[in-house]
Amino acid sequence: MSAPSELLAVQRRFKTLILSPDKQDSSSADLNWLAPPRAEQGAEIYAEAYGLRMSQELAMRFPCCQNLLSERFTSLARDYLNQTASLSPLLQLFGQAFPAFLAQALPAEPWLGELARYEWAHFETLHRQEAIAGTFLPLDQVLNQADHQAQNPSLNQGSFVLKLNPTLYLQLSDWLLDADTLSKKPTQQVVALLIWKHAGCLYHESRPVAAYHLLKALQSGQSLERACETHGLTPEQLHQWFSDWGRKGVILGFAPASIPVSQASDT
Amino acid sequence: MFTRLGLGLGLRKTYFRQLLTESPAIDWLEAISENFMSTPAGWGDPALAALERLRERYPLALHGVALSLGSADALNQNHLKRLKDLVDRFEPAVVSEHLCWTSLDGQELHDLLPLPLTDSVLNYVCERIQQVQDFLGRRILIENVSSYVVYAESTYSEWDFLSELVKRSDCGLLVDVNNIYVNSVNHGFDPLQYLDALPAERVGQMHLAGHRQQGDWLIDTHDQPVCEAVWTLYGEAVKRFGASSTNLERDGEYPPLAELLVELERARQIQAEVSHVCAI
Repeated sequence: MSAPSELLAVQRRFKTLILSPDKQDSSSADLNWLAPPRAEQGAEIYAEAYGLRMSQELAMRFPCCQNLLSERFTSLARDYLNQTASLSPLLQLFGQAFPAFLAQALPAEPWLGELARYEWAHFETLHRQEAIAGTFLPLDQVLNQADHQAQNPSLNQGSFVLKLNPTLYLQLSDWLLDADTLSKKPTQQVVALLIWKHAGCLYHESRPVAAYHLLKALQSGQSLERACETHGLTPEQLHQWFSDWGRKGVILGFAPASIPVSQASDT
Repeated sequence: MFTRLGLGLGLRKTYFRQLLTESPAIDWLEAISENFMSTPAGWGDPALAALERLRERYPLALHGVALSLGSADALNQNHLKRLKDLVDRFEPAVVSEHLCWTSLDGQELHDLLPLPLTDSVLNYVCERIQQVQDFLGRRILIENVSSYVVYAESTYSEWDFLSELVKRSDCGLLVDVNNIYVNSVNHGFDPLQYLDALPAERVGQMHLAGHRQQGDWLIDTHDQPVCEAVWTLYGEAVKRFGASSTNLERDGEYPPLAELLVELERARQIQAEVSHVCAI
């Protein structure tokens, strides 16, 4: 059964009203397909809600970018929204093209696109946390089951290269869910992990210890300059990091509790 | 006609861990279907595993937000297939969707948008509901949505439209009490007239939620406790529909789970009080 023609007509008008409220002359007879007396106000509620909902979705997926860009993020999110049709019923996929958009929109600040790519990869992996099935093992127990491929003292003495099977990965991810409470667990062993998908399984490689702390600093609203200074980085190094990480996957950074962050090094 | 599950909670990630580890006294859970649909990137599998664990402990309902039953677009067969996969896997006690449209010309608007309430739209939506029910091999419940506009061409009241819809399409009703209240204020009608018009024997579930006031409007935000007026209206609904399965929805400003349990307890008390009065 095809849709009634009048249904298609009003839905097209409604869609235009939501997606392009600026193009509507809402005070005129353009809204005569809606019943008075509050048609204009009601229509505005839908248009505003759409912009807000989609912007919030981007902000939730790209918290570091949002912190760093501040008001500019709001403006960029609006531009992305205007340029990007959401084609999946699954809202969580809307931000998929945002990293490429940022890279194109901010050519003078290429690391921001890389950061966005990193955040998206981070989200893809940590999406599992939204409904983790883990058994909530202590981290020590999880790590004891991991295959320690190598120690890498060139990073720091607490770094590992790990291969984890998916189940173990989930358990570790679950532990990461408690990352904010790490400081309350001084006895826990902590590692830095670079994660990406390879041949259908998750491969974990140790990487810069400072990464996690840098990420947390950015997420907490610390300025880029301050975060770099704290961790002894130059913006060029940071750019290189994000370039590498963004392509490879996701940092889930843990620093050994016994090693002060300031001593962590990538080189 | 419909299984009475008791008092349930909308399953949200904020409460996942507590539900898994503490198994609080909740009669059943309602999961948003789209949150558990696998994506091309393979997301969702761990979420599905978690849902399986919860399913072992709680009866489950699947509540959809994106099937776009009222869209002028053809039904999204991929989405429908994803829903059927979920339904087949979890065999939920209830499957529900909204009387709305969410997409057009292939573009998703991610909102529960109201429909013009006309004869032609009624016929159209009834047929699509029947298609979905045939595809899923089961009856679904249809929920009334909150709204901020009324179409000039509508010829039905919302309650008459819903009543006709369930009669013709053999679906059940998910009565969102908060949405009725919100619409009654936004559009100026008597919410009791709405309840009176609905066929009680077709009510399979009810929803409770909170809203916000924005100027002269009530906005269905789900980020507040259920307000007194909605509790009162819920009591009226229970008088008419009995102690139907009732679910509390919360989608923002999440309080500790204990606070939601208190709200569920209040719903339980209302059901008990109304049942007692009716028995007398």
